[in-house]
Amino acid sequence: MQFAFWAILCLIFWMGLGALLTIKSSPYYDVFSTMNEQMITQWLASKAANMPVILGWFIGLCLIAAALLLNTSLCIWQRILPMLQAARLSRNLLAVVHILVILVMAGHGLSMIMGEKYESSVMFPGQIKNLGGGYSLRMDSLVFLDDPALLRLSKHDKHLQMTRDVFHLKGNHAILMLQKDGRTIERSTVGILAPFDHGSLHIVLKTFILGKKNNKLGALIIIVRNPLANPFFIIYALMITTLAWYVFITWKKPVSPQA
Amino acid sequence: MPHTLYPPIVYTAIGFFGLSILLTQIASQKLARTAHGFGTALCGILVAMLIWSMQRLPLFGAYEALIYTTFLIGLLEAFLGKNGTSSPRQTLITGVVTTLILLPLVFRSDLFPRPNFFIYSSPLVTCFFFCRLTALGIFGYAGISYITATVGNDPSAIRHGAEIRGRNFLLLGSVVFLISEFAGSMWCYAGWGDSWRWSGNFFRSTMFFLLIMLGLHIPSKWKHARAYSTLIGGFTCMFIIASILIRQLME
Repeated sequence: MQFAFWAILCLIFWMGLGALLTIKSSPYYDVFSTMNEQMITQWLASKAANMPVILGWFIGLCLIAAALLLNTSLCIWQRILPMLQAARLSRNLLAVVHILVILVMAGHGLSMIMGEKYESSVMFPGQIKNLGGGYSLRMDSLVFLDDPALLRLSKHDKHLQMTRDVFHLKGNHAILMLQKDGRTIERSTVGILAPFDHGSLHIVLKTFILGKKNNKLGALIIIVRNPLANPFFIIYALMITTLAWYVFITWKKPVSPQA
Repeated sequence: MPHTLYPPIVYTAIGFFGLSILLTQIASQKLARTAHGFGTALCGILVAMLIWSMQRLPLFGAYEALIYTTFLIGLLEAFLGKNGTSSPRQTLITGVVTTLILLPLVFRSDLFPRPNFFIYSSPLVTCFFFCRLTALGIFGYAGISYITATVGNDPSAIRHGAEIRGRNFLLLGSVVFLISEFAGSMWCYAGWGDSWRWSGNFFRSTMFFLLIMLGLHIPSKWKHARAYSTLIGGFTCMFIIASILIRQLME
């Protein structure tokens, strides 16, 4: 428990340091953007060497998280799993919560190295993007019901002017066709916050774009392959449910001072 | 028309919260709680007016977040602190906290309810912000209880009761906070393709969760383990509230 306390405290400070490094005025703000655009293994191989501060922070994060993960695993094995034999529901739930927390932490870690991130790009209707392995993605058409001038607004002005009355979240969409060896295997509609999934392939329409030179309407498409996504969300939900159950059954009733 | 009513309602609510602080010192706790209840009711009226005028929950931006959080803290204290459960010290601290949260609205005339940005109509986004601010309100009540248990010279039964309330609502707030994080992860996955990102928002949220866990993982063999737990619990709650609301004010 003592090691867990100090490991958690270290991780808190490390996360706080990370939060400081990512503020907009920080010289490292853009570095974290590059970490999000590709798998961490690619980032380590290509760009990390030029960013020693962030690389050092990343290594420190991995070491502290690994230490906490190891400590929690040992704690589960030595102290928490025996709780399951005690036939007390609160102890059982506490044991299960710890196991699920480990799995969620592991899920965060594994998502850094498992799967694939394709380079995000703006696609226009009729354009085809090669995904490798015989797969390709074609934008069949794009429907934008609202005033395209909205897309030229700054981020600040978008928050003020792109209200739900002038921008139709559900009405604006693109039709994408997933093809293998030139043959369409799936056709789907994607919109903002309405992605397209095919197995572990996850295709997101991040935003609509108005071409600067030709005023042509397109969309910024992000393509990732994440085989762990669904199990991760299921385990995350189970963790919250188990914790909620634990809180409910261990709710303590303070005695009223008047009693 | 409703917008012109917001400032006087806010100032009157602050007035009642300030009055409740004064009444804990010069009059009875019952009068102080009544004054605080009026302040909470005015915040509730503001919340209702915002819902009616904007046709959505008031969850976005500093103005809405401050009012909603204050309303929740006041509501929890009003319902859970009756029949002598809440001590005069807890009423005093609640008055101070709710006054402090609403005070920026007096000095920042540039703050106003947010326009209905299209993304607010997404259920995932609404769930994220609703659970986040609701967790803030619960953390507020937990933090006030923890502070009541830590400071002053109340009888041990009162301090123990406050500590238990702090613990209960810290855990409850954690569950609601995690639901908001889950919704946030799904929002991130649907909007950016990742369930989490290398970004300040995720680092801060992780830090908040770890702070909560820290207070729950004090080694029991430590000499003042219980005192540390209460201290860290109270600090954690107030730190999370201050961090989230100050960040909102800076945006």
